[in-house]
This record gives sequence, structure tokens and C-alpha cells, in this order.
Amino acid sequence: MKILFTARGTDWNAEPDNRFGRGKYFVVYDEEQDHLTAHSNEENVNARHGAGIQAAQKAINLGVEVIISAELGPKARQTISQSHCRLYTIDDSSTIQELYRQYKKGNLKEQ
Amino acid sequence: MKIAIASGKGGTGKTTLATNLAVLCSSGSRDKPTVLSDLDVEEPNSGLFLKGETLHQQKIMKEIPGWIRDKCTFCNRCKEVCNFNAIAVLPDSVLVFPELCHSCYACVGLCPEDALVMKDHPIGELSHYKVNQLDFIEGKLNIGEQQAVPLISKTIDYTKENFPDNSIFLYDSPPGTSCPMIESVKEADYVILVAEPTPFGLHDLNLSVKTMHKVGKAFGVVINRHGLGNDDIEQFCRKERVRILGRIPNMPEIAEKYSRGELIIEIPEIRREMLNILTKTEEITGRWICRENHKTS
Repeated sequence: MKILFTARGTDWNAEPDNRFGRGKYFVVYDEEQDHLTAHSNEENVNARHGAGIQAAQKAINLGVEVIISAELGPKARQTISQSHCRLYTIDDSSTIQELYRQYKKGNLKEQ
Repeated sequence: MKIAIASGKGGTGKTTLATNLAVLCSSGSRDKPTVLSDLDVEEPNSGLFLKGETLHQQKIMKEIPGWIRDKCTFCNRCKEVCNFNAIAVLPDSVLVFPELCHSCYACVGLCPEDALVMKDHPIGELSHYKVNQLDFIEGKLNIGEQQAVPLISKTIDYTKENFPDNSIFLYDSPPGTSCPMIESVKEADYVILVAEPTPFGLHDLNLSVKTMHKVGKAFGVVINRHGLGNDDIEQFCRKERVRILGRIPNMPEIAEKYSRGELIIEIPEIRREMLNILTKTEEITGRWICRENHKTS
């Protein structure tokens, strides 16, 4: 399973970013490979319009099956709904590592 | 003669001024039509004060790309050329977001497979009413649509196509200084900025004055709710050499009439001030606007 976190940094200690479309990095954890990769979302951070849509397209093209971020806006949600991605809302975890633990424990709310 | 009634700040009295001036201009003027267009299409409210007979109604469309699945190779070109992020190319579908599309044709023109073609998408409605001698045109944007400009532009087109050039055109503009406001003032011969004597009113008047200079429009200011606050607006106008066309007093009777959807020119003192505003506008523009003004002279 590939899981995407929106984060302010690029590793497990990064703080979760509470924006989806304009989230700073898309950090993807591949559970099978036990491998973490970070993807800059700079092109959407400064987009004048449609950041959510393009971020959603980016997430789908990264092949993730789970997205853990803030509440998605209606257009990003509409785009994601074209895929089989599941959406979860971040809690008050201070790192994405902690967020991942909470996700595994089933403590995150599905959007 | 085209006069736009605009303001930087919302709720300063654009519609009050526009509807009352329009009724004054139209009264007694049978040879020259007076047309009021409500271009505040996101929340048109001139109609609250003008009750008349419906002459015409139509849907207003804009063009957006429609996707042809069988022709698409998912090459991503449409997404790349879209300046407005209105297209998402997903592994097995292409999504178009009509609210973001500016109808620029880039995706349609540059798609190598002709997999996108323009189609009509409804954005709002235009209504034409006759209120005694006044022709009143209203543009109303559909709920959820984000772009006012195409509807404003088509409402102006309708107005120009249906009335002779020598008509008196009054435009009730949307508030602010962004694209919708610019669209509604860009063809005007003269702009009346309405301001209220409050700190917000002054701040936003400053922005609209700068906008008028930038777009090169002749304009004057009407102070609404005069007597409220201080005289910062008057000082600002003196400093910036902006002509004050008139002052509508801050009177409970006005609020009462407004709340009942009535015209405030029914109050004699306000009627006189409105006529003064038209006289000053006539002096500045050198154009004849209102027959009422020339009855006794």
C-alpha cells in the first residue's frame, strides 16, 4: 500500500501540512518496499487557481491508495473520486511518523 | 452616453444611486431610451426597487471544452497548456472544471487528437424588464459559478445590440476593483464612484480612484450617508482633485424607504440632490442626460 502525507518537510520527522492542494511536500510511504519518497508540490503551492485539482491529479499519478491530509476541497475531492484512493484527515500528530502510527491503529477519521 | 456607477466598497449605495438616477433620467424621456443594466451579476439587487413587466429572458452560456474519450491518448497536452488549472488528466479520464475555464480555446486548439471540442455551458440568466419608460436589464450568475466577467460582458453586449447608441446607459457595477468591476466600467464614458464617510469607505475609495486613473476613466464621487463619521473623504477628494458630484445625507427616512424597496427620489430633498448630481455630470461630460433637468431652465 502506498500512503501519501502532506508535509512541511521530506522525512519521517516532518510536520504534517494542514493543506492539501497547497501542501508543501507530498511524502509517499511504500509499505511493501518500506521506502519513503518526498515530492515537492511547489507548482501548486503558488498556483493562482485550481491547486486542489492539480494536486489531486499528482497524487493519483503517484499511484497512492491512501491520502492523509487536511479536509479536501470540493474540486480536489471530485478529482480523487475518479480513483480508488481513500482519504483520511490528519489529527494533532506533530510528525508524519506519528500520523502513520495513528493511521495503523485506525485512529484517523476517513473523509 | 454610458455612465457606470461603481465603488470600491460594497454596500455604499451603488444600487440606490443607480436605480434612482435611472428613474429620473427615464421620466419624460420618450425619444431617447434610458437603460439601466444591473451588472452586479453575483448579487443583482436593482430589481428589488424596480418592478415592471418582463419583456425577454434568456440563458447566458459560455464555452467550455468537452472531452471525447475515444479520441484521447492521455498525452497530457491539454493540462499543460491550461493556464487556469481547469483540466485534470487522470489515468482513465479527463476532467474539465467549468468554473475555472476561461474559454480561451488553448486546449481545444492544441490537442493533437482533436479530443476536446467546445460546447455551451450555462452560466446565468439575462432578463429585460420595462419599468414605465425605463428599460431594465439584469444579469444573474448561476449559483456555484465563479466567473462574473463573461456574464457581465454578454449583458453589456445585449444592451448595446438592443438600444440605439444615443440612449442613456447606466451600469450598476459590481463592488471592488477587480476584473468584474473593470469589465463593467471599461466602456463607460463616465464613472460615478459612490463612497461612504467611514474608514473602510475612504480606504476603498482610494483604491477605486487609483483604478480609475489606471484605466484612464473620467470620474466623480458621490458621498452617500453624508454626515456620518468625519470629513476625511472630503479632504481626500480635495487633495486628489477629485470632483464631488453630490452628497446624499444620512437620513432615517432613506433607510425606511430602502427597507421597503421604494425609491428615495420620493423624498423631495433627495430628488433635488439627485438632479444636481445629473446636472454636474452633464456639465463635466458636456452631454445631455436628463430631460427633467431641462424642464424649468
